[in-house]
Amino acid sequence: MEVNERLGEIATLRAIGISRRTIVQQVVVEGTVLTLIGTGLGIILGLGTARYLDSILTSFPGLPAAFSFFVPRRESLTLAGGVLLITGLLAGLYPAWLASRAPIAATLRAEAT
Amino acid sequence: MNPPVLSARGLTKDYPMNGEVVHALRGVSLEVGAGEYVAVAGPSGSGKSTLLQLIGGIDSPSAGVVEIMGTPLDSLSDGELTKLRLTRLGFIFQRFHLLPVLTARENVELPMAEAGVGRRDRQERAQELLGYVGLAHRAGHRATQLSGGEMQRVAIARALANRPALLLADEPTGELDAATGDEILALFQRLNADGTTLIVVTHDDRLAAHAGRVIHMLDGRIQSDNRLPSPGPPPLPRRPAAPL
Repeated sequence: MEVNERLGEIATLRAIGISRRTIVQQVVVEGTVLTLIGTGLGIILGLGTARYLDSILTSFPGLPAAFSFFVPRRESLTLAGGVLLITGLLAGLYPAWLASRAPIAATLRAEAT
Repeated sequence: MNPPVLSARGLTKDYPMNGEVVHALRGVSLEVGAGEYVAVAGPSGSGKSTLLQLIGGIDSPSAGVVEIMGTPLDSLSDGELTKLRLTRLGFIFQRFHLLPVLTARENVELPMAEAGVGRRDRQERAQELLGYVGLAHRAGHRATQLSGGEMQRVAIARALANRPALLLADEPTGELDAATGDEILALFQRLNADGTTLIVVTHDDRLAAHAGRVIHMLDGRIQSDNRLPSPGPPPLPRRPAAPL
């Protein structure tokens, strides 16, 4: 769910005394967990797809027996995972910070209409 | 002598809307003492919800002062005001506003977690409060699995979590059918009988009839402020351990 869709929820949390810091932390933790799950699933899916494509391509006649088209490298996986994680963090942090600063009463009024 | 729980003096609130200024409140003053049950009634646009938001420190007045337990809200930083809302005030909203991914008990625990109450203590108190509102058996259910009346009772338990000095409710029966609304009214009466100070904004005449004091608002002003001779029908029997 996008932070914008949660403005009412965030305004409620602010109204009952939850600090901005806690709200930003919560949104960032949620975003990080989702990014980690997505990264894990993406890597598993990517490796599976690579292995499948490799099995098709290496079955062509005339290729050396030990030849492989897709070789997963630890550095590439780490880099991709890191980039995804940082992107996910930044994508969640700014809107969460903005949402935590939205005027509480006006947001609740807008939610009620 | 103890200060009143709430003191508001000369509150005005103006909103810009479509290039014009809307005068939502025009010089409202009131005091509410400990243990009072106050209903604020009036037609839509009379300023009653705005008044509640100013009292609750979630909006600031254009002019005037709100004091909670003698503390002027305009003297507080944003962080201090947040902490005051957490520890001194309890909010109940028309649309409940529970967190859907959390269980009933976790929703009640939320303000206590923010206030630094230990996990075990807050679990015990949340369970106790859910018992008080008659929902101990629903503690492990997610908010989305609860009926409207049950969600409102969880919201009431959440509002009570940090033992607030003042409970503020904005149209608490507005989304409920008559029978379920009656359950909430009975719960408010029991809360008040057990010592909770309540200010309830409402369109609901039944709710106003149950309060000990009824303030009628019109066009941003208090039109009448009546302390009723009788606090309405007798409250429900007290439970042995009111966790308030």
